[in-house]
Amino acid sequence: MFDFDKTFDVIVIGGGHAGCEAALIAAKRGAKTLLITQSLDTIAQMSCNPSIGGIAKGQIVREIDALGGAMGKITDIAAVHYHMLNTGKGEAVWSPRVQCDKKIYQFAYKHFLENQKNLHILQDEATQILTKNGAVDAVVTLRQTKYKTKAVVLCSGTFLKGTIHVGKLMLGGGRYNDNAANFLSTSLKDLGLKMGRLKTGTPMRINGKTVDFSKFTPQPSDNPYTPMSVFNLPVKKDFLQCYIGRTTDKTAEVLAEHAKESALYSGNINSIGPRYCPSIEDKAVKFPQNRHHPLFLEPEGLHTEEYYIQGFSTSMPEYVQYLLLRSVEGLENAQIVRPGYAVEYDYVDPTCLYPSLEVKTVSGLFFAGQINGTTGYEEAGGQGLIAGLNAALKGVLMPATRSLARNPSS
Amino acid sequence: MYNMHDTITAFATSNGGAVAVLRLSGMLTYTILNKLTKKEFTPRQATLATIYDGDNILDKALITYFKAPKSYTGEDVAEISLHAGPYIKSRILELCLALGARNARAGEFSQRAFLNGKMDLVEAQGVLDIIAAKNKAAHKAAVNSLEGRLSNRFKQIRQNLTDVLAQVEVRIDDTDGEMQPLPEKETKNALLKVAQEAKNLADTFSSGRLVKEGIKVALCGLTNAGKSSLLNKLLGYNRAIVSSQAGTTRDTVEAPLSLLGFDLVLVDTAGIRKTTADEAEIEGINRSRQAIEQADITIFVRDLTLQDKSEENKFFDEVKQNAKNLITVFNKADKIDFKKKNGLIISAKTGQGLKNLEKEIIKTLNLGDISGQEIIITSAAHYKALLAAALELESATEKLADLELCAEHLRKALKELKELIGEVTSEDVLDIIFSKFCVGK
Repeated sequence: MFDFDKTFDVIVIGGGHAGCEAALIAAKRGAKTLLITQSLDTIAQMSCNPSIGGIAKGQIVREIDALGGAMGKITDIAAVHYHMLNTGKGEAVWSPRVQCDKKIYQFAYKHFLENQKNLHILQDEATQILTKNGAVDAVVTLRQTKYKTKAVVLCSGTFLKGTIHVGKLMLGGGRYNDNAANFLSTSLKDLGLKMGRLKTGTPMRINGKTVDFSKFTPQPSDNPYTPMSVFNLPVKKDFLQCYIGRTTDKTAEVLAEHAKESALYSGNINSIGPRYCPSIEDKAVKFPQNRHHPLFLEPEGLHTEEYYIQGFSTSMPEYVQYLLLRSVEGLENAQIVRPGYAVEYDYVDPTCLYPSLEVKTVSGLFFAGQINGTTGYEEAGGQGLIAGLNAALKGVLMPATRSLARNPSS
Repeated sequence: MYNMHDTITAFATSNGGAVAVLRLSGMLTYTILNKLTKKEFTPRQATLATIYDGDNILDKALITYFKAPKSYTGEDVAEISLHAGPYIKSRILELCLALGARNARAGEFSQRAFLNGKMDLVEAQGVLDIIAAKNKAAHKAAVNSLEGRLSNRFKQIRQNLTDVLAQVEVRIDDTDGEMQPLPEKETKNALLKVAQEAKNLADTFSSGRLVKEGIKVALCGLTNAGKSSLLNKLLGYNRAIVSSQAGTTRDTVEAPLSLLGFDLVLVDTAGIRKTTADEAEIEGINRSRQAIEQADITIFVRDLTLQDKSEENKFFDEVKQNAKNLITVFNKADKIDFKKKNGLIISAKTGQGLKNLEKEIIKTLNLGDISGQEIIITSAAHYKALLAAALELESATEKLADLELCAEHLRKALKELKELIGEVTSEDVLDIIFSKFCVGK
């Protein structure tokens, strides 16, 4: 084992939406911060849809923005389509939603982090959290390096013992084709934390060149638009369009006929999902009276023809995914470029946390994002910001931690 | 708050009697029982056991053990029925404390029952009321809330309001117009129905308070009209000093009386006369006026033997203005031969007409229903909360077109009712939204 010769104030494990905000705010607060991520090329990766904001989520991004986070600013850099939701209602419930170019988003975020003072980014995998006298002491990595630290923010997303399901096919992985983190869970269990399994999922991506868009209702960007970050002014942009469609009776038939082949109902997955992300087979079982579910085609970026089909999240076998596509008007000839899949992962019972997101039983250990059983980029970013801020306070500044009330606006 | 993890003990019975019941609640209950008796216990089975103090026998006791969560507090509970000797009582308590229990604070068993979800606050209030109940009607009201009848009505209110809130909130989120618009008429009717129900419950408060706290009945009239004699006759014993001297009663005199299952507090007041210069008597007269204002019923005692009624009439007019419920009686029927047929003719001396007066008192308060099945509110805080909630609900019905404002009024109504129906969290609303509507990306 190699003992790194410098002690960090804060180590952030995981470079997703929670980890990026955590690392950035900790470093901004003056904490000597290390961000450990399995892959530099997937920093701030949008694993699911290419969109930031939406009802309630847009409000979270604005709050992150106001508290010094980066999500709103990066969103404006990567934006390809703006839409203010709920403008028919009172302003308190207006919600900004922005489609982003995935690649621009992640590289812009990476560049942002690289320019942050006090922040060291490292490609490695954290495998163990060491404690001394009930407090965090060090993080050990797969390459057997030991980094001493005063605080740790763990943002493991879907990667702790992640398992990918496509029908009966099961693969290890936190995201399709990205390695799972198979060691850290054991370290958390050794700390006496109560763990469980959750599942979430994502729809198939298709080649836009094989879609008959004439069968869909186009949704152009707001223009002029309201930027996501209140610190930005609108600039001239190249916009892309989104498209609105619906499932059909035929879709419902396919789902009914092949229900048992879904990883969800075949017995391969026993865990439940965060309820905001139901799969199409879930919807068919729980709401059989709704036969025509809305679908929303979102472009994945400026330099790709890939489209994300919101509302079509599934863990059906690939051939059933084709049957589902063929049941939808305009998608009869659509080619799948990446299949939809479900992912199962370890999370920790969030009642083990203080409102500051610090683990009650381990001083200096903070959790943010899906490890707490939540879902959503924005929710992860918000938690990352709070956890990162508190970790920095713990690490360098003062012992008091901060938390936000559950309903600060009411 | 006290430490919930302690095992607590206290006598459930008061001093005196042949049997004393000691109660234990908490994790150590079974261990303590086992060490006291060297015996094993089956839950919910009364068991005769010898209680040991070291190697010596302390007593033979009947012990019932209740295993968590099927007990009053929701924890492990034991009830030990002992012989109520002073040494036995103090020694068993010492033994329990030595084995790790601590003395329970007042109300701590019920507090644990509440915190463990065995009863809600209304039921807990019912426990308090049932112990304190002094008469049949108060007991009935307390039993109703203890039995959860009041709670069931609140549960219905809670469910109806939470459902409507979910219907409203899911539409705030429905940005794509997927949902049918809020059924305005239906929603409005549902909300107004709950508002009316809240008001109806609130309306029971005045009689509820009367049942719980007792009904104040003031006796008033000119000096020497026979008020004190009437008080004594109604009570059945001589509470007030009676003399033929005008102005004998100088201060108000109170005495409790149970009448047809209701608690009354009879208040004898100083008689009114203009001509007095006595300072104490003047103060007494002022207190009479106060007593009349505070009384739930005022009985104006007229003196049939009076020749000049002008002063009596004048005072009657004043009392009529200030009294909430006025009953007029014509006293001293024994003294004169007389033909009057209207009104309550009584004789405080012979008791003539007093049964009619008693009936009139009950009739005046319209309390007939309360002694029956009616569910009533007995706490002022609950009364205020119900009225405030009704107001918010009515505001909500006026904002059905502005969903976010409507939701805010509904949340305020729920907040007002929090003590009665329990807190409705955003989690409760989300549970309904996600179970009833196909929401999510």
